[in-house]
Amino acid sequence: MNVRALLITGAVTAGLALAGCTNNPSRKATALTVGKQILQPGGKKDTSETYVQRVSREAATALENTDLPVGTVLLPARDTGAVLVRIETNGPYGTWGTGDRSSITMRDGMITATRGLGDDLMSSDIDGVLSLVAQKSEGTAERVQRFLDGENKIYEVRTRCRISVQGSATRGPTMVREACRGDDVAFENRYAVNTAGQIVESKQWINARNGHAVVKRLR
Amino acid sequence: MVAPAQAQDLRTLNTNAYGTHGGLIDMPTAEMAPEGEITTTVSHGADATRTTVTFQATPRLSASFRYSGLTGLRQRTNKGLLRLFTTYYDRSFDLRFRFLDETANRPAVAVGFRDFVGTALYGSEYIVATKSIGEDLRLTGGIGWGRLGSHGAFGSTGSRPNTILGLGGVPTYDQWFRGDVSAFAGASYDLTDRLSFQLEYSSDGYDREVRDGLLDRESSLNVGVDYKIGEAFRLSAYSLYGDELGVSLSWTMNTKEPSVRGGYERAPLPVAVREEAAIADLGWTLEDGTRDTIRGRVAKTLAKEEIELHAFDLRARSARVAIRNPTYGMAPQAVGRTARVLTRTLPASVETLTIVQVVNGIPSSTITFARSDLEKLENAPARDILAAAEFRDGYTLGRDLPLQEDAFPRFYYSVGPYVKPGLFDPGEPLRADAGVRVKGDYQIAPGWVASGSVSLKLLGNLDETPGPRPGQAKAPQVRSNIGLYVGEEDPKIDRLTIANYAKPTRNTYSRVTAGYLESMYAGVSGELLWKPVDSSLAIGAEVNYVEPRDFDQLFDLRTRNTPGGQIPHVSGHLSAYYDLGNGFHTRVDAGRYLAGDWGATLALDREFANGWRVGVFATKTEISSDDFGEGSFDKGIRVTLPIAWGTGKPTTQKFSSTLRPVARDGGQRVHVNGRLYDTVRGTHRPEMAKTWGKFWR
Repeated sequence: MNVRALLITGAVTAGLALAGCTNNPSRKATALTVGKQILQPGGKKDTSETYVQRVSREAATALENTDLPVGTVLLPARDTGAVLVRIETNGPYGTWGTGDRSSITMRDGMITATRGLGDDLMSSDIDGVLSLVAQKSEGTAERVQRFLDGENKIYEVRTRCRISVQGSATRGPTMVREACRGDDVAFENRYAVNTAGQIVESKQWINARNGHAVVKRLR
Repeated sequence: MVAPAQAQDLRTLNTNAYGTHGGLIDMPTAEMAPEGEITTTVSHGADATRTTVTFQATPRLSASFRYSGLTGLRQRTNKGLLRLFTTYYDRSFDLRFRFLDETANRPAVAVGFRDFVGTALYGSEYIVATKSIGEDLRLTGGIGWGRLGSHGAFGSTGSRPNTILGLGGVPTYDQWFRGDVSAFAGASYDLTDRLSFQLEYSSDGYDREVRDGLLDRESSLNVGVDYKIGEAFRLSAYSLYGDELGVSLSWTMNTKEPSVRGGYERAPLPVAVREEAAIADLGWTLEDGTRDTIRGRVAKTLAKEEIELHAFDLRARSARVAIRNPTYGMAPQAVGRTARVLTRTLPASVETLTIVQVVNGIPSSTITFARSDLEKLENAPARDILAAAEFRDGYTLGRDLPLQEDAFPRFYYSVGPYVKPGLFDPGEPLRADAGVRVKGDYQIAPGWVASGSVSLKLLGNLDETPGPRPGQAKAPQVRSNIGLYVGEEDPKIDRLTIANYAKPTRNTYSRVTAGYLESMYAGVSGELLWKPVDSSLAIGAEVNYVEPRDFDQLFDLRTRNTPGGQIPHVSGHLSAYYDLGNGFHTRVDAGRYLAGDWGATLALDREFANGWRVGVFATKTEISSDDFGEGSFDKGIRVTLPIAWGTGKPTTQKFSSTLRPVARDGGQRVHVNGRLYDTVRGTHRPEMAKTWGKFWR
């Protein structure tokens, strides 16, 4: 959150005739809405229960109420999380939606895009890393992640990633680690891959604002 | 994570006492701010309080506008008399260009002009080099002319004239790099992330201040300390010439750093992929009422995305869908969301999707997609779907579409407060009115819009703005008597017009506006624009026939006779608009201005893809500098701030402001709402391509 940007707009909006009431959908930003956002930049915070507790409670309900694939995502860097329901598929890609209309798109459990989080991951090239992770093979591959910059232009974050297998479990999922490094960026992802080569649980880096996404597939 | 590769070499957010970026006090450096930074500095020291806005237009180029209030200054008038000002207000402009970037063995080198227009109270030029030593220490050395060559000169390059060109407001090119040359130097050291220290040797003799008894120049050394209060605010204190203490406060923001990148808006609906078998099924085309059901579903789903369905034409294999976008400041996002809605709502046999963007009731562009491309490229880079999209003029596919029932008429109103500032009057540099304004827009039929705005002033002092001094006017008073228009306190009709927008042929657009066009003029304004959908160039023509409105701004008109002559009825221009690329846009207007003066306006804007714009313009007409009066010719600065940049929520709302150092009668134009270029440009390919990454957002 760039508070500088918000403050100037608040001042401008308050001072220059954008406040008030209107029925025009193109004139909805009022001093009030901008003001609210200055006071409450990240949206509502969880109160009585932690976001982790809330997500697991909601996941139980979701599993009962839908036949669609269900999972959970936590964003520890932002103290929030949500239940994911797979709302659409497109070839190997699945788009998983949350109750507040954010979404995460994954290919075999590897995140390729996010929407509605702010500073979203717009698209990714993960062919190389995904095939190593799914096959639980060690090796190095390229990863490309695309984001919108402050002008709304796409820029690419290119990294080289080393995949390593953390011991081979005889039972249960295998832990696979992906260490990526590029210009000005380095991050690490971890995956639990089942015998069928599916990622069932993971901790995947998105970017500085959103941190790691902890994704768990429940059904 | 560090986003897009950008050289951060020798960048600083600190500003000096002149409000330009640099780590020293009175002396310049070769440091620059990050691109897009806008920093406002208020500094007070010796005899002057200066408010400076500095804009880093490109990584190498920075421009500043400064408004200074000087006390106790004695000015020599043209007749050689001394005048003592209680407070003398002075406007000045600076430019700095870094022509060499720093390398391991070479310093960064910049050339700069301080106060290079008009009276040049601070007029000086310099060439300066800055080198960083390690992370925290930066050393600067340079040579200066003008004020920066007024102490300890080691040589001279000709003589420096001290006459003012014209009646001020003209670049002081006859002085540049002339006269005595002196050397200056300095160092800045970052003790912590927040705290830095400065030491400099100044080559400014402060001749005038010393002569007028405002400062004792006891030393050439200045020391200072700078403290970063937060990301946006910085506070500095410094000693000046062993005699005075100066302080400054700066506030900074970056046009390229919105409150949240990519926006906060909710996720779009994903693309729905068709099943192979369903594509061949045309059974739906035979059933009665299916088209209406589908039309209803499209409208409802678009409404959830806050996009309005305007018109709809569904065929067995293709669909044309006209939309109004009241929500997304970035047009690609509105089109991208519409495309995804269509994949979820149209029968599987419909393969060709044409999205028509409607602005002011006219189709300003059409974009055609193969539905299978949308399905295939949803998870690919956005550039792939751009390459597959076909842009066409609205005339080809956008006309004669069956309108939605609620497309016309539509009425929009808004009620809100307003603030109207009046700046730079020497008697009182900041005046303002505030009150309530009611606006209405009535979209009557395709292309027909009735529009009005009424305001009621509640408080303010704009009416104290002095009018033109009698006997001075050398041209019809078309703007300089603005003060007479703000005097009355009754509700005022800001404008009340009926307009027709149309698309006469391929590549052209037209507008006719009639009524009370603006606060000072009523009449008829006609405009024609040529702008192909994939062109960076546009050509326009505008003709206006006006009568001056009565000062009370109700329904009456007043005489065209003014002390400076009769206001002519007809004014008009030919205009050329060109997107230069790399974030620059230029515009040239040539024609007859309000006072009947013939001339031309040149405008240059630095445009950011997110909607920020910072630009300058200048108009020279046949009215001579002497007849024009203070400032010699019309010029100014204009700024546009997209509200979404600040809130992170999508909106088409923008705030725009034009700042003129002096408003006179030469080179003035009538103000008309809804000029064509800015209304259609955003839906055309060159502009949409800039932010096409928003298509899948």
